[in-house]
Amino acid sequence: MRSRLTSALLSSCIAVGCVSTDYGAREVGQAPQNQASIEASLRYESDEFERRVQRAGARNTDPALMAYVQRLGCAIAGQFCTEMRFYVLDTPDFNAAMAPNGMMLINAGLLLRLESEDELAFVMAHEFGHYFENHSVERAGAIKNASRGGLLLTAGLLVTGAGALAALGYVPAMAGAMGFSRDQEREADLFAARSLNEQGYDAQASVRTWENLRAEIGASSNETTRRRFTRGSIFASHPLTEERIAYLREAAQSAQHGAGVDKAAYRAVIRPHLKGWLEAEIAQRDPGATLALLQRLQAQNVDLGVLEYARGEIYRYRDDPGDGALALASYTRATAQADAPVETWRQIGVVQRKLGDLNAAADAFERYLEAAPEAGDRQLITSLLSTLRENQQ
Amino acid sequence: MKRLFVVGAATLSLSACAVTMTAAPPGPLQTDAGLAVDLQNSWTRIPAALNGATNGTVLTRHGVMLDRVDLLSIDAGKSIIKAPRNVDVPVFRAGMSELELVELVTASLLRVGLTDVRAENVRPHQFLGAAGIRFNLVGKYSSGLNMRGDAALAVVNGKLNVILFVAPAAHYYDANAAEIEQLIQSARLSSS
Repeated sequence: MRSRLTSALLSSCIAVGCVSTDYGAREVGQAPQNQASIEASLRYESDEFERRVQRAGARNTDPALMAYVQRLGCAIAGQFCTEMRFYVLDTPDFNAAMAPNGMMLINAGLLLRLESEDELAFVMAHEFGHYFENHSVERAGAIKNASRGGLLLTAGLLVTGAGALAALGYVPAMAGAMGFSRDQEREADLFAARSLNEQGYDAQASVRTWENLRAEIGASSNETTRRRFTRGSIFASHPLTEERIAYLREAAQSAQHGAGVDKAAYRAVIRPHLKGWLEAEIAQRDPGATLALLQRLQAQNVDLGVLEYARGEIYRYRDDPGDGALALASYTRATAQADAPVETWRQIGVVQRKLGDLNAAADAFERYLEAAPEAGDRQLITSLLSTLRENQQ
Repeated sequence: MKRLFVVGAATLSLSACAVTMTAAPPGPLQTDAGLAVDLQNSWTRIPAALNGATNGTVLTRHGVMLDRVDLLSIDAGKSIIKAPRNVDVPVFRAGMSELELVELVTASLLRVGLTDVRAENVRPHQFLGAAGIRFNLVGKYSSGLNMRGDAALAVVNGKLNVILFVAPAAHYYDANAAEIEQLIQSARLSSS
């Protein structure tokens, strides 16, 4: 669909003799000279949108996480650092976005799925590549040319990269401003691969990221997701995963391997948010994909209390035959770990009660109330516990 | 052919008029699904067919972003929130525990774009003549405004019945809290 649209745009341009839309690379401090230009308009819209991002409920304001992202982003942007602002949004989609005013958005769903700093460096370099290459202005120019050629375009046709914006309330104009063509995505990919090579990161990181994501999507319980990947997500406009993995692998061949591959260091950065981000994933109700993600996260053999709790939650809500026992086993493994969420005991109580072991359910609820005396559901649990104990007598 | 088009357009026009937002004056109000409540003030009623977010009737006084009451009666296998085809959302299942029903509400709110959603003061509550649950909600709207809410729910005859009130914590929650309490207390199921 998108390549057809691009072809139509190009044909239209040829027919009417369009103005060139190649703006070349950005210069430090570049600002629109003409306030009536496309660039100025995009800047204005981006600034307006950024004000919404700054107030957004999904905005993550953890100082440690933001300092980490800022440091990495500035290392990638180099002399453009002072023009960039970085935001993390606590939304579960695997996505990031770049606005032409220097605002970069990174979704928690992306941070959760990356395994090391070099993988994040690739994503941020890719997004910075869009900024450096003036892709937003070029794309807007192409659209304007197409309009001259008589093609009726609506913002709805330009919806790419919208996943990152979903939690902010969807803004079609900004989706257009932050959406890029497939060729631009490829250009940004190769820019990022060069950037990683130059900075001594392992450029194979990009290949790992896409291979991991391909495996997760392949495990999805949702047939539509498996077939078309995620609608409205990064896949809508980006090169097909197979093609992408192939050219990124080629681009990474001359990489200086080594920097940023420390998985434990990266996990330490995202650890404070692991439970909350996983709960947002669980609310997506794709047990196959989330279980695949958990299996990969567990490979490091750390954070097992949180990860086993999350695994138990998936089995509990999926509720297929045998899932009660699987949930119970996961919760039980979680309780052997120091980082097990206190809710694990409550969920053991819930599952044991369903499985008919009322004594074990009551014991688990008691453990929960002991560990969480101020819990918001204390009154209900106390009532359930009372009923369970009465039934035992 | 032209006549067919005119007839079709007229039919569409008529059918569009059939479902509209209406005033809900003080007094009893009944949803199509048979959930009835008493209103103290005038509200605007948004019928299920015009409600793009949830599978129920919506009441609002000042606009759905400022105060919103959802009156829901959900069959097993159905969801509280509406979703595009082939998109999975939390669904109500027969046999869900009390805590899972609370989580169904909070997970559904997360899916419609609220963040940091938590249930507080979760307590047993006799609702619609059944052993139900009441709880309060806190969270954030996508705009960053703090949200507060109240919920009451009970499963009756296999259907999950929910009254869900959400409003900005600033002013609108408190301004409606007394009426919402009365509305929940007045809730009943009607056979018609």
